[in-house]
Amino acid sequence: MTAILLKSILINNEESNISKALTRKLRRADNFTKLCVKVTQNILNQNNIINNISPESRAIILATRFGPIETNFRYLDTVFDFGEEQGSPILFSHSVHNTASGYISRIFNFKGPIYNISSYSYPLFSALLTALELLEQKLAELVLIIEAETKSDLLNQGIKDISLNNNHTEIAFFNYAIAWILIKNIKYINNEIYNILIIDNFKLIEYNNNILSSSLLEEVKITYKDTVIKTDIYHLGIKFTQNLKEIHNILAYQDNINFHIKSKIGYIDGKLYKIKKEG
Amino acid sequence: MNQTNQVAVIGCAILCAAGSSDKDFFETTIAQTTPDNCRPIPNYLFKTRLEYPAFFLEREIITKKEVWNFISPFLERNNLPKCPNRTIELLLQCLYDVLIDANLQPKELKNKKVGVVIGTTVGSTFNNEEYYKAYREKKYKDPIAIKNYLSSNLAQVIQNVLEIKGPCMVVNNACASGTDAIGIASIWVKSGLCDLVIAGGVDELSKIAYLGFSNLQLTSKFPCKPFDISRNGLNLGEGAALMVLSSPKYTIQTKGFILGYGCIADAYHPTAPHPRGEGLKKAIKQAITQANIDIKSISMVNAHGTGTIANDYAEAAALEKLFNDSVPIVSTKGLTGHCLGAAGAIEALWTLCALNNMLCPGTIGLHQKDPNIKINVIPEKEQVNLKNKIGISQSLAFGGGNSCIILMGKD
Amino acid sequence: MNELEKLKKELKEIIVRDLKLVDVKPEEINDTDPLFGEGLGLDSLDAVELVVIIQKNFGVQIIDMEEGRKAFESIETLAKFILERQKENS
Repeated sequence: MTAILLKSILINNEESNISKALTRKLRRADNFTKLCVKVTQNILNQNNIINNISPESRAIILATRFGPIETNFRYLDTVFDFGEEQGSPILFSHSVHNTASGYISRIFNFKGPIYNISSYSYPLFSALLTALELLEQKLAELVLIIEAETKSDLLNQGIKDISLNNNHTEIAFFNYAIAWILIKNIKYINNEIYNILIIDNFKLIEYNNNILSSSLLEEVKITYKDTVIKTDIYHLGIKFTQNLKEIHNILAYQDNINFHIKSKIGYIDGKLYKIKKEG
Repeated sequence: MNQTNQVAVIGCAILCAAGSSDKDFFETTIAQTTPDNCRPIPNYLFKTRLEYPAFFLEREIITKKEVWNFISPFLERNNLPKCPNRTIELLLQCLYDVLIDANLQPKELKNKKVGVVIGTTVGSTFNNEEYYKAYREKKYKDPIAIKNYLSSNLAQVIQNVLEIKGPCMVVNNACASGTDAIGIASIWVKSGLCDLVIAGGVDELSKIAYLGFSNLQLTSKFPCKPFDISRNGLNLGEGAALMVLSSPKYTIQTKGFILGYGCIADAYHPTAPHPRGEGLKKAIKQAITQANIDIKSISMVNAHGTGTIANDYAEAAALEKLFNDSVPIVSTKGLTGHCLGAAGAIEALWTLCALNNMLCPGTIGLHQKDPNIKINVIPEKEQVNLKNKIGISQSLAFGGGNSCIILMGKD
Repeated sequence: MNELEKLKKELKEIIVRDLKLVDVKPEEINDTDPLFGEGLGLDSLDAVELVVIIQKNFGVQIIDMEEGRKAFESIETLAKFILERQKENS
């Protein structure tokens, strides 16, 4: 399975600053939505590719572990504080997983397939699997993949409270969003260098004896070239995206990078190599 | 028909207020008696002051010894005293049933590439009210609630129960989750990524969803009336439905085929559909193109038909442009309620049954069609013979998604 | 300021705050401007939220959106509707 990885980006902030133009459109949006919209705005600002692709051919796959978890609690606050008939419809409608992608689709005119998926392990790569298939089967010409998470004190506290196996590093989830843009058709790219992502042997999820531990994640190793980079798995999407930048620099000097991501619950083998459109 | 384009359905299972098998459910629909299933919320589900009725199942979902034996190794492996939540009970009962229906033993799955895609809305949210209340009040909370939440990704649960490897994913596309799960599963089968995919949807009747839909003024105090002139809202329901999908070359027995799938967003409004059903029209056309058939070969459409003013108008507007009077349209939500993440899957299975019987029963709850709705929705107490075994099941998601599957009955 | 004027002022503040109209000041809203569609540009999601807001802040129940539609035409109609209802309730 191959696709051209046009761009990838990571944002990590407590409070998302939105451009003025979007402020009105996002007036009711919660933090989870704002994060997703902001990362989309950032990544689309970096190139004009989207203008060449019809709205119905633009797909979104938004992957998360917990979705807008805090918004769910804000809705419950209104029910507990004011009564069942006085729960806030705005908060309820924003507590469902598919609201953020709905905003992206309205603001940036994405009318193709939109999938909101949840996975406790590897959300980004779960999204990648289906994104590559959408491109391969021509169900979309451009796929925006997002992995996003918001900080929840309740959840972080709860994870601490569960008695953990000593091998687990303490985990706390924080606000972040990662975005990738993938296309298949080389005709859309300009005369620049891009990464092509090839996933061989995408054995993403292997059976793990204990689903709780696969949720709480474990260490993984990313290797490229001969360098082993150790990283915490829950940062995997982040580390991998950050490493893409380094890999991009390295690619300037060589043709391809083999990468191998392995953990107890799965592995991915792939290649990243550069292409440059001639002429 | 191009065989390589098709995805075979080799097993089906449903759990809903109208029946615990697709045959059951279909027969209930043929009987065309107004069910007694839409009732006030029982205490064993949750307590509420609101008076909107809903469709729900019994307190105990899993009662048979064989099913407990099937899931208890999974519970032991994960140190879970019982199923983390009702959604998982519904899912696992349905999983047991679908494997029987597909004539598959769990051990046969271990050396195959088996994918799992499950649609849900409530099933991915941390809905433990008592825990949150205690947290708010800074009182003690039993951490088992967090442990349960982190052990409850539905697709991972299935993988763990069956001890299988392969791609797995939970889809949270609101009301279209079940349809999209089946659609994604068909994509995975066509790509060769999987030999088999277990796909479908599940949702329990959750208090938060119940309150939320009521606050949004989408629920009715009466049994819903899809496309009816006096319709005034939906009823929630709970249930589960699963299919086992396979490449035709691997199968001996099939119940039918998935010919095509379309998925298009309205990009219009956070909660209301596009009034002219623009996204739905495109999704249907996309599915037709994929199926490589003439749109005139569609013999029936199982509509989303929730019974809200907005949905039924939007859906009718789209269908009116694509299908003439000869194509019967039906909604089954008068028998099941709106089962959210399970709806699309429940309805796809029901549609396959209808196609295999070449019969489209009428829409329970529809007595007098809204005169502004021009499509041929079959009212209660009527039924229509189908001209062939090809039909559509579709869903419109809260937030603007439109998903359409084209199904074909078995030869 | 009489009862009606006070209520209108309060409504403008509540609407701006609870519907998060970040680019509008309460005093900028005219009494007779349409709230929905044109004018303030609120939508159907704001409408159902407004029903809850009215219930919560003024104890006035709006049975369905048909009733709501007329009351929500403008700040003026909304304020009058609330006062009328409050008189009926007492």
